Amino acid sequence: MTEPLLSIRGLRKTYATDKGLLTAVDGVDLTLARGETYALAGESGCGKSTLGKIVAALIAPDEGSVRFDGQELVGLSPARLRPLRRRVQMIFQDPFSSLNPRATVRRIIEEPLIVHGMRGRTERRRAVAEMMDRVGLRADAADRYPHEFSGGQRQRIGIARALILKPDLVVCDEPVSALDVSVRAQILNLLSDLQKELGLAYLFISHDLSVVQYMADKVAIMHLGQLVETAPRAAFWDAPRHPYSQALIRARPNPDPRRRLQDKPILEGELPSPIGKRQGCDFRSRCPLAFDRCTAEAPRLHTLGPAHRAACHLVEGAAAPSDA
Amino acid sequence: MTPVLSISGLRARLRGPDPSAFVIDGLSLQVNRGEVVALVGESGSGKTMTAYSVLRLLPPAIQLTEGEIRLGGQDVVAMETRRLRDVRGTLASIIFQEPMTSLNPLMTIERQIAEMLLTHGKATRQTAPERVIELLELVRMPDPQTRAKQYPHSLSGGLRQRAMIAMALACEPQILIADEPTTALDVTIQQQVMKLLLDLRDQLGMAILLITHDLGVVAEVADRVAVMYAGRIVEEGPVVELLEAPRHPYTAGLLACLPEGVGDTGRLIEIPGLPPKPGSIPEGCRFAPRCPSATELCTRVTPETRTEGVQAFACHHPRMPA
Amino acid sequence: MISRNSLLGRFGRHYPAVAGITLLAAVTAMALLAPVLFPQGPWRMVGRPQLWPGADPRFPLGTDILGRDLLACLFYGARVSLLIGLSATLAATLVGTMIGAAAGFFGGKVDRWLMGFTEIFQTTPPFVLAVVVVAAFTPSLTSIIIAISLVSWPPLARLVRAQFLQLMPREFVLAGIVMGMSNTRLIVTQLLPNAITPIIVSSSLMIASAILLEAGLAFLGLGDPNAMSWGYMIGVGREVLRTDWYITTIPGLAVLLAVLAINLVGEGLNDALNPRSRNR
Ligand SMILES: Nc1ncnc2c1ncn2[C@@H]1O[C@H](COP(=O)(O)OP(=O)(O)OP(=O)(O)O)[C@@H](O)[C@H]1O
Ligand SMILES: Nc1ncnc2c1ncn2[C@@H]1O[C@H](COP(=O)(O)OP(=O)(O)OP(=O)(O)O)[C@@H](O)[C@H]1O
Ligand code: SF4
Ligand SMILES: [Mg+2]
Ligand SMILES: [Mg+2]
Repeated sequence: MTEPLLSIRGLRKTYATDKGLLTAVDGVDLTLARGETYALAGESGCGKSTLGKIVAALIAPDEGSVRFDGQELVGLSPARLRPLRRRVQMIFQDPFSSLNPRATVRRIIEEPLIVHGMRGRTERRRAVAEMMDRVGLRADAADRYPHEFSGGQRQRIGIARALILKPDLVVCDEPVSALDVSVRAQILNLLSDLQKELGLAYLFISHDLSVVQYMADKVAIMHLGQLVETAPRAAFWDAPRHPYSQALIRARPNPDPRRRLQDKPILEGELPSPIGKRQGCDFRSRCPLAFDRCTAEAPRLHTLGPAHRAACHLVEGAAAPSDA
Repeated sequence: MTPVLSISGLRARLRGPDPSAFVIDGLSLQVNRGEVVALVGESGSGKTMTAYSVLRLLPPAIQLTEGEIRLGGQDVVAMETRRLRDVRGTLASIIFQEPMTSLNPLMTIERQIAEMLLTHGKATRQTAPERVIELLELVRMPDPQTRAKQYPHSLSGGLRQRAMIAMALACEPQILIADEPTTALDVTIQQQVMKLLLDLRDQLGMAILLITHDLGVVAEVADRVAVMYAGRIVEEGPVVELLEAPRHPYTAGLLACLPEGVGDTGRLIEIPGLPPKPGSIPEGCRFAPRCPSATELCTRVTPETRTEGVQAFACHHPRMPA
Repeated sequence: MISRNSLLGRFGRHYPAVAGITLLAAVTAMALLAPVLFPQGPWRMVGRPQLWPGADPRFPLGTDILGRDLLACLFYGARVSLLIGLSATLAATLVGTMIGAAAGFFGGKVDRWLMGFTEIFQTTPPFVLAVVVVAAFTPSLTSIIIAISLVSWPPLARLVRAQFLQLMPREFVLAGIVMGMSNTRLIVTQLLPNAITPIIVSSSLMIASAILLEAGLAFLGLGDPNAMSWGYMIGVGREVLRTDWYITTIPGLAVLLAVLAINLVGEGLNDALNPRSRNR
């Protein structure tokens, strides 16, 4: 078997807050193949960005391992990390804070090339011009500053900056959440075209399931720092196994005027706090199927099929015997 | 029966050297008792400014130049300030997108709601606390006695929005204007809040003007929909007809570019380009530069709004009816 | 042409700032013209001591207790005051920026250590500290500049640190880290350019406080005995304050006007550089 592009094992990250220890990522395992899009979905504060930043080596985890193309990233010295950085890039959510306000568009896109020692100004300029053209920025944009652009245009600049180094993996942290629907479609199409052309793998973070459905080959649902279900696209949409996945899919508002909110079942109840120790299943306060065992014991991830895992006591019986 | 809210021919412009910088450009809309009307449009189309005009809350940079706004039959535009203060809260109230910045961080939830009741003479110092708890129960705030004593920062986003709704409902308005009330919330919480609003509508008979850019939410809750583009309503109609058979190419485009619109492998439909900015609205139909059906006529002549069946739209080349 | 929204355009519409810059230009002209107009220098006793202004047309501002021409002294004083103000500010800005940048960038232990160090300086009143430092060395231009910069950098360090702490979590900085920028490059190309506005503004104000500090030191007799400064002039007039108050008042006014001018310019810079005031 070939080495996966990204392999995450037992990742944990906590933050010390004045109310106690906050567990942002709690024992996450994930494997991402070359050229694949793995979507990471879940509600606000569940730890998606934290996980994304660990993969991009922006923050260090407390425990666990991140192997990128066979190389362990956790604990690597900044000098050893630098050549690998070229291959893992990131696209950010906020098109207004993700670009240096004091740099021109050309400078922003050229910067990665300078950092990685690409010689020759003309050569760099050519690469920048090509990239700008590729992401749909007009050539006359090069000498302007970020504040002169709309959100969608800025996101194109951010994409150009991330892709100019020809990375293998791009962590996309809610890349279209701040954009209007008409512009969102433009950016999503661009991202999937570029993926095909350049053979990119995406770790695609989004809280919007319709975007996930469009983009993802595999889906991971995160809840309070843990993955509660991971599945290939077909299995996820046709037969989601975790009650939380099922609830999220049901909750997704879709533009069908015959499916009214008043007729839909909705999740009631509040989320437990991510601070301090927790017992049992984290979802039980909102789970319509919760029973005694959910209070006493936290479910572990059960393997249900190829790349399909769910962490719920109710799937235990259906789990494949060889729990890897 | 007179509508709760009726806007006609509203225009508002950015103050400044450019006399044509209209952010609202000839907008007419009616909301009837007990009705949920959704005002949909992309960022910058003028939804919030429309809502602000209704309560005369426009920022100093924006000036109402033309048009009529009637709340429960009363003319808001000409209303004197004292009367206006009465109207805000009792006839119409508004909830905002960001529940954190619209609650006072230095006051307990109880104080803020009580303040609202006291200013409008809906309660006395003695009766206010009890009424506050009633209101918090009405919006299904869990553990209202404890929450009443807390400050906004110790509440989650969903609970804060509930507190905002309780405050908005304190004086039993006839219409609630909700400006993207759930955009900052997770889907599951969003549904709780929207369901609450619908239940309250049934219970209290108030109308809701729901401002949103999310057609999914519109499909779930609205009775009638008005689609706004660059300061104008380009299409309006009952939710089922409008979403299932949109007549205006912009409405159709908005629906088509949603990820739900494609099969498992297809590409997303794009609306090319960007909405125009106030001051650079194109001649003729303002959507023409981005419109797939545009002809030479569209770039010259502004289409009038016309009604066919239950839908009204402003387009020279409408799509086929269902 | 200067457009309405260019930096100069914005600055020019700020009338107090224009007044400030005019005054400041006058002071600079005095400093530059001193050797041309008064080739004999400020120290020569040229006339009767304690001549009131206007009493002798050769000395429009009169003479001091040793019969030196006050006008010449004022011109030469502008040289020294500006020199000290600018050099001390430059040094303090460099030190303050470096310490603040390091604290904000590295955070954690480095931050605690550097901020503890900064605090030591801030707990002593700056003037007292400056007096102690100058007294410890022999008073000279160099020791005065060192003393003034030593007491002036801490507020700047705090400012730069605060700016950096605000910028560090911004996504364009994260993007810089992801693309593999070295720390120096990150600081120089991403962080400093975005923190430069408040640095420029508070440095410009620092020039004023440096001039004041120098005047204070010289007044106490801790000035460089070989440098004719406004502070020295004020010190000289101290003993005859009751009878010949003009000897202290004239240089005092000069200090006041110079400080005022710099403050006006600083305010103007602040408004002009601040993006929030741009599209008014
Ligand atoms: N630097 C930090 N210090 C303390 N707590 C933090 C820090 N960064 C994140 N957290 C907390 O960690 C948890 C996970 O945060 P994270 O940003 O990863 O969530 P997310 O899933 O990306 O949420 P969102 O959808 O809102 O972006 C949250 O409870 C958050 O408050
Ligand atoms: N305070 C203000 N000063 C100047 N212009 C403003 C102000 N507020 C809004 N505008 C402008 O008015 C127009 C309409 O803005 P409005 O806030 O109504 O849009 P919106 O439809 O609510 O958008 P969003 O979905 O982003 O909330 C925009 O072009 C906006 O730039
Ligand atoms: S009027 Fe013309 S340009 Fe405007 S929406 Fe209709 S077809 Fe398109
Ligand atoms: Mg996030
Ligand atoms: Mg708005």
